[in-house]
Amino acid sequence: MKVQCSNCGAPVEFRFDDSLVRVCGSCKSAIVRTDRGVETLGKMADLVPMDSPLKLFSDGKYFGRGFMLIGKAQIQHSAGGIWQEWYAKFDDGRWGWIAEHQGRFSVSFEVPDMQGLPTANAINAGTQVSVGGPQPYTVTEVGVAKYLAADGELPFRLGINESFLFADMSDGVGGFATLDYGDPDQPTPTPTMYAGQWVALAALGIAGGEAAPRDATPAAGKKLACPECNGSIDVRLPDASMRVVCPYCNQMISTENGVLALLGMLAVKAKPEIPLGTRAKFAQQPDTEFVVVGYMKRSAYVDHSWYSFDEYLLHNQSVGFQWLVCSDGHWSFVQPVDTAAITINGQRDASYQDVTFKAFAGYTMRVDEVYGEFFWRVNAGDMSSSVDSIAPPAMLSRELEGKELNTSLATYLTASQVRAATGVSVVDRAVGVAPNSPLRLPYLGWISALAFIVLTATAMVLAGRAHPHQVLEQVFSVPPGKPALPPPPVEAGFETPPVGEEAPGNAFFSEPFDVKAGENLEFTFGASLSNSWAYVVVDLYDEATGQFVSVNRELEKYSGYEDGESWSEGDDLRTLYISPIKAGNYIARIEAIHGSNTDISVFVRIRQNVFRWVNYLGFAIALLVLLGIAGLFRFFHNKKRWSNSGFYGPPGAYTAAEDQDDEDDDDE
Amino acid sequence: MTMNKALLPNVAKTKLTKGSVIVAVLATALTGAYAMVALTQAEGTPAERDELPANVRSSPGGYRSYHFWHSGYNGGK
Repeated sequence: MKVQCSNCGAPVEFRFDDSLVRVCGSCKSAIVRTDRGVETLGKMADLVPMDSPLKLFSDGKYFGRGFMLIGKAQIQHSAGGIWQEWYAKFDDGRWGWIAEHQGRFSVSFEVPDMQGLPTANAINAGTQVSVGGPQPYTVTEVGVAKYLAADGELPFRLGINESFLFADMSDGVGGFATLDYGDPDQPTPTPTMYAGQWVALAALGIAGGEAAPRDATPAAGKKLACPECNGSIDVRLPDASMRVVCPYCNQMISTENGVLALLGMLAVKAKPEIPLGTRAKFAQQPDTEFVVVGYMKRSAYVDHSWYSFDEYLLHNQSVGFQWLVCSDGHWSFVQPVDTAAITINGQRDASYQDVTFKAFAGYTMRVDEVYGEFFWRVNAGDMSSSVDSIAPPAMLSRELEGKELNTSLATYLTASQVRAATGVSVVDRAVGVAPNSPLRLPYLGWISALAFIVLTATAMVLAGRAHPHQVLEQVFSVPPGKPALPPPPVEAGFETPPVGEEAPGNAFFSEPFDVKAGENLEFTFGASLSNSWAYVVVDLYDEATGQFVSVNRELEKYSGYEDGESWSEGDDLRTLYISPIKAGNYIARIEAIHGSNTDISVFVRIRQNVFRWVNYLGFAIALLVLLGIAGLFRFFHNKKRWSNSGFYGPPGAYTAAEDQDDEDDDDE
Repeated sequence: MTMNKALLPNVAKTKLTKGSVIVAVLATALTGAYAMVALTQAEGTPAERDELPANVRSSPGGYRSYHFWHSGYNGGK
């Protein structure tokens, strides 16, 4: 349908029967179709130049259905940020909304007649809204915005500079929804719901379309003259930045809507360690090159003191804004996370991607110094509150500023990783243990469990395979006194030994027996002793080679009655083990002496292939000592980490509850 | 449809550190040493090993008439 612009008379075409508003290409007036013809809603403001991969009248596809982008509107958040919404006419006749802000895209459709939605008074950041789907939505922001400018055809009656109250929600699994409450002063009790998905730009298959307007040509960077000192300021993101700090006179300058306005001189001139304009690539997103565009020094109110840390604002056209944070010399790469993807367990713990993050600390945060450019209306003194939960080397931070809840995921970086990522020689000045410092000795539990399982399994298998068998058992009577020693052969040249007082009779020889190779030998010595001692020597003599192996044991057994108590000490039955010896046919020569005045019985038993649990026990204790030392090392490292934990109220609001929190943490 | 990855960054996995590797190596060495000891049935207790002089072995009565020179135990209470 072609009509004439009621303002300038230029021809205006409505391509679709159900589009309501068309912006005149000549005079930028918003032409609205009514039953009585066309009317003008007034002249639109010029579009704010914004870099975008989407173009008017581009084609695309969403879940297999084609669409064309036939209109767009620029909407300004009450905090200053501007985003663009594109209106897509789908092949099946539906209208879709594609929202674009800071490199993120969402596609949504109006959900008509949705009942049971919360009223404006009942909704806040963090509120859960269930609309019957598998996942409830979590409200990530409740805010006010207004339409700034528009182009093309629009499916609704757009009021320029009309504000509306909205609540953005997501379900944590890719679902996105917005509730539109209309006039923020008189919000409707039945908001309009738009629901859809977060999508990657590439998945939309955008192609074709009009060339971007001349004044909207993306600018790679601009130089501005400071309105205060006329110094030349590099503005790297002229489309997105709302605040720029003059590096010469330290004036905070508003760049909203392309108009420069002085906001006042900052008290402290920031000195970032990483210069603005530095390009950086991080291992977390190796294909993405970021530019450092801003720097803030912020403080966290902890235990009645402000502790400062540094935040660098990073920007990439495709992924938007991310952060590099340095606290006490500990660095973290920080990425925004869909708040709804976080599950809060109990009071404070959180889980994300099936990882549990233990609540670590809650603080009030303050902006102290600002340098560079920012996409929101930042100013020194801005306050927010934050709760950190940790799963080292990761940390989740939930930061609430006004009615906006932002969640981010920090990943620990070493100074050398930051040097490699940025090319800047940052000094390694890490102090203490950061909340998300990597665990010392991670997987110690697994290593311990595995080592003990292997050790025990080995023992059990070998114990099952060992079948002890007896090779000798002999009992003999030993007369008292020392053995009479015959002289050695003269030719041997030995010194003549002393001759004993008693007749020989305490050396015995066994019958030959076989000893197997590879099996240990267990010797058991016993003697019938009563307040006496015995010394037994067993020599295993290999008749074939003349070699012998000698073992001995002393036995003693004493007992008595003294001071009304009976006592006993010593062993008259003892065992010893030796390693396997050479296989062969052996004779045992057993010799014994003792301190009794009468004959005693001496018992000797030899067994082979006896499993030794004591060896298992020895190695298990050694393993336990090793892992115990490692565990202590890890324990003290973690203790140091958690010594900084705590939940602190805002400055001046110290309460008894804080003490209780501290005690709770200690209990953990 | 692919979700915008920037919205759901992945949680960094805990990586093995040098310390963990050292502990793992030591634990493996201990476990291996035990397996070796248990398999060979080796014992820490030393046993005296010697050889009977050839002239004793060849003399009449041989080792049966030869007295081993054990220093003996003369202790006890």
